[in-house]
Amino acid sequence: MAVVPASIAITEGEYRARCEQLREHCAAQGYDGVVIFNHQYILYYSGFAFIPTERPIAFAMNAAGERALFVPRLEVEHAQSLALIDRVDHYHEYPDLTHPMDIFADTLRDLGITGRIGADSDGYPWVMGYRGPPLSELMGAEVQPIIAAIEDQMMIKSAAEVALIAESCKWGNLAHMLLQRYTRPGLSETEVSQRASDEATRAMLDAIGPIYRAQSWSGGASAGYRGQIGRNSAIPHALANNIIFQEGDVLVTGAGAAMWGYTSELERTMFIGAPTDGQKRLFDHMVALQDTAFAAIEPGRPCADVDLAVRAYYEKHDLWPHWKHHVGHAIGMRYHEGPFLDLGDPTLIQPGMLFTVEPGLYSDELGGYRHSDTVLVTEDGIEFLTFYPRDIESLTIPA
Amino acid sequence: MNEMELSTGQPIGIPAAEYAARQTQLREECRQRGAAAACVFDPDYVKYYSGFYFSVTERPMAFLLSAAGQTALFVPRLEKEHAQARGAVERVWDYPEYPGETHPMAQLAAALRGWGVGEGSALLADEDGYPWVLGYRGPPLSQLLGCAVLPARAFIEDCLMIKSPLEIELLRQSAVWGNYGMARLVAHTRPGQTETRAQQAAEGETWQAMLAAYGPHYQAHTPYFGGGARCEYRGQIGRNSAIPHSLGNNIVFQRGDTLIGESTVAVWGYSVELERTLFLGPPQPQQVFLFQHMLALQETAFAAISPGRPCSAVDEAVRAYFRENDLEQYRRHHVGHGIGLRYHEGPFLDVGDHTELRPGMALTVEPGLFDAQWGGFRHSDTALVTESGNELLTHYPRDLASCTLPLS
Repeated sequence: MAVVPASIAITEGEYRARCEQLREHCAAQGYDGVVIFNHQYILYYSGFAFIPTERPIAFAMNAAGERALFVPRLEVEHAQSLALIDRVDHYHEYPDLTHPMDIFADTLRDLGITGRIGADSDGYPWVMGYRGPPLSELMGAEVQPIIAAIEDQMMIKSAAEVALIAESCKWGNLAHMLLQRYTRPGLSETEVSQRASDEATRAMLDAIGPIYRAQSWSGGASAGYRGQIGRNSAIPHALANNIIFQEGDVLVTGAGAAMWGYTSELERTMFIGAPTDGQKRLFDHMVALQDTAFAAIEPGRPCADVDLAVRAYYEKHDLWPHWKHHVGHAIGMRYHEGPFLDLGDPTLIQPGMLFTVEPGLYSDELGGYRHSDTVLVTEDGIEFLTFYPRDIESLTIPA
Repeated sequence: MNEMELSTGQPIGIPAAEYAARQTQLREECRQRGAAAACVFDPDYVKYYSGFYFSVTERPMAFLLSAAGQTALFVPRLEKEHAQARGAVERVWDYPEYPGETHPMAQLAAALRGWGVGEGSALLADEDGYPWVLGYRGPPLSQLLGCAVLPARAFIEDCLMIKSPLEIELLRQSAVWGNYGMARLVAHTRPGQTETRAQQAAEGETWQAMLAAYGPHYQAHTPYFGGGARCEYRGQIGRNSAIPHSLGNNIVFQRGDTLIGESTVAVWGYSVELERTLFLGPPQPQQVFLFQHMLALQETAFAAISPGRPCSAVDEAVRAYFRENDLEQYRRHHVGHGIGLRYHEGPFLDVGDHTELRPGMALTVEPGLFDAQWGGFRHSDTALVTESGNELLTHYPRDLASCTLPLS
């Protein structure tokens, strides 16, 4: 093998191990092979990052573990650059005179992926104007859903994945620090967010150097408010509206960085000028809710327990009018993934899982209150990957 | 409602009446196909029918419409006020959380049952239940309701293909800002500068100019391109530019680079595509050769786009040019694609797409030449099909002189 420069990226060996785990699952289910269309799953198993369009791209692996990427002509060289792919088959274009799926059918027959196939969807989904036949119809095969197995595998992060997410946290932290530093009354949300994100991104690119790969739409570090400013902060998923900061605003932030396809989550509630007693009360309860959740996350307990512990705090302190959502979610290659810290999720918490912990309080008059931290489940509890200050003094911006 | 009035009284964004008209089309489709109701999950479709734009998560959201004419949004608790403020619907149904005590799909099924969807009836839907994205898991609606699920995507895509005058106006505005972004990107591109710096400067300046021009009511409303203005090279620099969909990487510009720059700006969810092949310093003869053929390929496509002809005819005309000029070795993809709420959509200017070109379609025209040694050569412009031919919505200069950048 050629000498490769040092990198913190996922190694070829790890991709191979992931494929092997999937192959074993398929063997146990008696599948002749597996077909994956989702771009994040393809990245997870092969390291192949691309922008999804109407042109179908698929990863296929047969029972013997032979791996193929099926791509349009314009992605051939890109796909061939990956060492762990045994074959790259291609079609010219979508839709073209011969539909790509008809050509893919030949690849699958050639690989012996016929009678019983595990697939993440029954054919390429109809996105971006794509139209085409189900895989089951195309192959006359039995197509079994495989998303649950893939998601179960992705839930448990390896040491290398944790390292990438920790790296993401570091640069999210820088972006957030700059966001707080530059936020002051009279400036707009957009200019502050842009300045902080741009500076953090440049520092990150220079620090990591030319080996850096975002492998995601958002190619860098970012921090912003998404419009969660003042009374608008009571809408948890508000979207940026270029609001001008004013004294007395309650702010809810969000920060992270794209790191070889992985992400992290850091959110803080901040104030411009001294908070009122009412604001301080909700802030303190929010921090206590988060502490309640941290204490409840332990390997071997169900995810539901964490939400139940937090809900008990809402109940005890009469905070139900301010509740809007559960405690948190897993995170990794996607900004949200399972399992969920929710009373309806019985999944057992295991070492290697990563969660956001972000119970919130929302009031029409007083705004929204939510910190979010990314934590790793260890053998005996949790470890924080985000490390931005959580206390009210640190998060109060002078007016 | 998405509608908002500037002090001039000029509305920006899609007004309530247009959502109502789209809903009427969908209702008519329900009636014709014998469906008791329609249910769409795709976030672009939800936006198209209701104006409600949201961040996609594991928490299912849907736009619902009954054959009798009722409309609703189905959202989690945390999106309730947002949906009420923005959705052009009669009501907002909310559920507490996913997965929660009662699974959201069961609650959605109960709501649809109230509209008469159940055994022996049919539901028009883009997906049989919320798709398993971002960790979501749940049952198909057909299983919960015992109803038939009729696929809705082909119909909805057909509707999205034809842009209304208001949609065209938003595409025109996107073109103006795309042009501005490209000019800023070019202004910041010079040897020794990094791709990232040029991109950040161009995007920042474009954003600030747009926000100043539109004021605080401006909405990008797109999940793509990081949500707003994107003015970048995506790593398509020097020899890397031969990889059409590569992803950016902080490359330092060098004299002699062939670049493919793109500037995409979303305006209330809509965007056109603008891409330019640029040279850093005077190009070599082979670069000029490929550039001029690329321009001629684009001209060939423009001349072939007229209403009544099939999309395939445009690709055929362009392919004929490739063959006649012995350029097949440089061809990697078809001529272009529809565009609007998504960065790619149907129909496709491709030999295999026989959709008839019709007035109101917006299509990218971007035949490309790719050479392993010299890089990629591709301009992309967005053309609107008119009653008599087509009109270019993008207007950045296309000629060699304008696309050759100074070295300092």
